[in-house]
Amino acid sequence: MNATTAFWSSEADLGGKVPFQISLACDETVDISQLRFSSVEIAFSDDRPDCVLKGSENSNGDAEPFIDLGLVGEDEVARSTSALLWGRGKRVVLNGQLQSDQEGEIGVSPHNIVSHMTSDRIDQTRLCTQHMVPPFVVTTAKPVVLVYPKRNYDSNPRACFCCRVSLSPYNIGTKLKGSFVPRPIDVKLDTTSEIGYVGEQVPVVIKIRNDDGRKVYLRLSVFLPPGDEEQGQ
Amino acid sequence: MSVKDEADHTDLTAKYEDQETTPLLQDISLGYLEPLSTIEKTIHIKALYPGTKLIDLSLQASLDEDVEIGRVEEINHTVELAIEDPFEISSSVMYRHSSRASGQDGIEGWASVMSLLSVSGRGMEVSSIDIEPKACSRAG
Repeated sequence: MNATTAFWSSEADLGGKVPFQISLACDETVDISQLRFSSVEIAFSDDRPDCVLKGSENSNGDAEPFIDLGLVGEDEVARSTSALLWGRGKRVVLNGQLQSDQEGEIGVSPHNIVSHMTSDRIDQTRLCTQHMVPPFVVTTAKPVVLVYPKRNYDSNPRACFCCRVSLSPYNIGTKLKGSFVPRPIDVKLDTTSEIGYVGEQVPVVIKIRNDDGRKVYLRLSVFLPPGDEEQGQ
Repeated sequence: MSVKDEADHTDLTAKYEDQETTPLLQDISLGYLEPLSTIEKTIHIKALYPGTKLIDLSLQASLDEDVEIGRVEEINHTVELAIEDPFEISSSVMYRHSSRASGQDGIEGWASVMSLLSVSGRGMEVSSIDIEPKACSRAG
């Protein structure tokens, strides 16, 4: 399976949302159409929780070609979709958005694609796993890690079989990082005043305009420096 | 000279609402300003002497009332304020002597005093003028 990640923009304002896409495509030379994946886990390089997309256990057919994850990483609520099944050459695009109130870079990558198989499909699963290593093509120097739990289904035919495909988070060659950068606050200040006389209260009108797209809190300080001594000081 | 010493030499006083102080009005909270909106605030400056006065304004804009959170932008602006004397007065005196004697003590004379009162800058309504003669000792 080829995994690619792309951000729509490489930089975003603090607090802004950055759309990204993760594309999970099955190689055309491989048939994993019978391998039902239970979830796709998406990890982030900061400390936000993984985004988990759970596939339906009941529906059949290929996965939806486009899946909207919404704003990801803000909660640990799993998203759900129809079956996570890939036919030959099929591609699933996960659309999501990232948001951050802190400066820095955030990497996003598909972390795990997990398959839980019940024992009545073990024969199919075994068939699939024989082909699994070559088809799971990941553009990284590191090999794909396949984690096989203890195969105890011979003694307990109803036991659960778990196949976890790790895509080595943050080491995938296709991983991209989005940067959240602060944007200057766009506030204009202008003043008007007129000639004043000694001893009178001279008004100075301060006009402040918020040209920013965000609500801005304002504090004003006024400093009266010493005057020109030649003029009476 | 320290900043405080320099500041102590200002003849200016700033007033915002009920706060009146010199030389620094610090951290006046103007509250939140919605996007694409404008506010106008007025401060009043009083000067004891004429001249060109400089007033430094510092506006802090932040995304949160707590400046420790997020970015804080500081916008500095200097206002140049012209302060003038309200009047300029120039006077001249013209003496006229009487040809007749004013008695044993000397001669009698008159003096015409002409004062020119001018207003620079904006117009001004003068409500009254007081003329106060002052006695001076006689020479000799």
